[in-house]
Amino acid sequence: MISAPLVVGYGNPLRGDDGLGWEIVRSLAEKHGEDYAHFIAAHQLAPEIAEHVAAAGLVIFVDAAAHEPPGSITCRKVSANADDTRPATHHMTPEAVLTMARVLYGKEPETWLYTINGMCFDVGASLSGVVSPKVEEVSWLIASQIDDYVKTMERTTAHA
Amino acid sequence: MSQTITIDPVSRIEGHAKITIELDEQKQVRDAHFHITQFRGFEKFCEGRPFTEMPSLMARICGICPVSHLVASAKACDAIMAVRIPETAAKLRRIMNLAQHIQSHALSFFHLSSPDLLLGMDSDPATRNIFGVMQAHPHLALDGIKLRKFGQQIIEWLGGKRIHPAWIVPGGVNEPLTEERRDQILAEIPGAMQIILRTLEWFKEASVKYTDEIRHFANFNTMFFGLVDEGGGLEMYDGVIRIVDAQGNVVADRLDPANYQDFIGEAVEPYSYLKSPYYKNVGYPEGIYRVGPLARLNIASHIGTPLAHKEWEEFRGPNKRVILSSFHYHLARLIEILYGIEMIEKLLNEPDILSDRVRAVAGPNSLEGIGVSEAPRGTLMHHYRIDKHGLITWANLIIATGHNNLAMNKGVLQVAKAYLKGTQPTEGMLNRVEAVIRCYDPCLSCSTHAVGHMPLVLQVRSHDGEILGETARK
Repeated sequence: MISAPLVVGYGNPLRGDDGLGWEIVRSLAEKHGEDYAHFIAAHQLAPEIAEHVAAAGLVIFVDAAAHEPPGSITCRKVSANADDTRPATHHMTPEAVLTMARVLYGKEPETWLYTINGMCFDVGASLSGVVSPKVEEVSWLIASQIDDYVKTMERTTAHA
Repeated sequence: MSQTITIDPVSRIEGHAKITIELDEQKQVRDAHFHITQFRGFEKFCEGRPFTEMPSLMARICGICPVSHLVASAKACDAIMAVRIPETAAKLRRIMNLAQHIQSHALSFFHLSSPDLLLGMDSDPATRNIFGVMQAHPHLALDGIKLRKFGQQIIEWLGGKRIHPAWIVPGGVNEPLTEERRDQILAEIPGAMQIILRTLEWFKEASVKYTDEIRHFANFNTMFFGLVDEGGGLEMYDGVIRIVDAQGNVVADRLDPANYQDFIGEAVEPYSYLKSPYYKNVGYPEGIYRVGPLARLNIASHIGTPLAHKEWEEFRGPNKRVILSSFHYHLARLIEILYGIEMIEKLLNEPDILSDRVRAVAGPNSLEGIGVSEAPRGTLMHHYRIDKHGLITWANLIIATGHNNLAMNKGVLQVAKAYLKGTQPTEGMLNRVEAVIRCYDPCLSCSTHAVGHMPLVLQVRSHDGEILGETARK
């Protein structure tokens, strides 16, 4: 049995581009169906997400960023970081959640973080014109990664 | 020379704030303030929206307690429609609200405050966090996750979908509870009950180590404010307002929450975006009161479930004294979790809980509506006005954290006076100043609607603003 992939989009959907993670989760769920992956949309990462991470075979976090030109997309691999000892707030990092999954559940699945750099984080429920077209692009990238993961796991299972 | 010490931002709370401590010429603490440095534009943001959108819009204010806003907002909309919602709908809303209390209290206790309580106020700040708890007490960390998940799972099951559940609506709820869902929730009750009972047992024993903190953590006379049911018992969803003083005398009782403007004033201070509500009959700032778990247990005459009532009797003692130290918010939170689990089970076993009559339908029949309920952090008030087309023209939100603003400021001052020695405070002293704020579990995203980062900076300043010293915790 293949462990389901998990997609976690997080941010504040009432702060403009900060809500892009929600939009990508919604887009993926609408296009591929809710059984395509385990989808979570959240304001911020919280401790109980570690349990979902531990149960997944592939984990993808989606967040907004603000340190690169608006609209630019980044993707990086996330590792559990035992040295991530920042005070626990409601603002946990993907590294912190993965660390919890490792320490508490003994699981550290392959994990990636996609970000789109936002342009407008003012109060408002819609994405900026720069970020909005990127939702489909990132959704496609994530879907490709999930499809590759599922194919790989199916091959592995078939050969076992 | 007078000096100011600044803690900015405060860590392990929800949101972004700073603390300043002013020293006089003799280097003694003169004053202290808890500054909320975020701005909430939410009351303006919703103007022009149809009132029927308000519950789902308001739920997005906060990621920690969306259901609380959903409930208060829906109640305000019920008032605009001038309907009495079906009994079953009220019970189902209660269940979701209690699940919200459980998950929020679990986050506060297990993940934000347990590092202080398990590892010690003076322990190494590098490991005094949830990761330190995970290493030293993994079972407790897991219990915290399981209990929070219990509450979250109920919300998700009732909401019907993972993203944007819009189950609580003006007039009731939009779908009845199925037998399958009810049984799913009931099956989770024993596990949650075991966790809270063993946590209560542990914490009551452990808290004797914190005698000094109990003495100095916002341990002063204030009034206590909140909802009680018709019989004066603990109430989370509906009921009437009761106010008691520090001696336990009932100052006001059976106040209609819809008349809140008659008895609550809202002061504004230049150092904070957070309003400072006060009891009008006493005036400002003497009209200080506290809300939330400690207040609810102080104003209640009893608790409507057996195990929580037993804990409440022990908490209040044989003379039913009012508990003044805000350190005891932690224990009050655990007792409320117990109450929530028991009450959810009770409500789910009521014969009409599966009724399909769960929504009253009407258009706007009043141009104004007020909804009040108890959120995890205290009494939450949503007040809307609409035009003849049903569009919001004005909104006022009094958030639980705001009610506690005066008490949090006074608490910071008390802790600073007790622990601050000289202008180079120790890390343990700083942690206690923050910990007294964490007792209230303030939700600043709710009260100001913004989010922030959490490193901590301490500055010692002279009266003319010169920085005399600075330390940072990242």
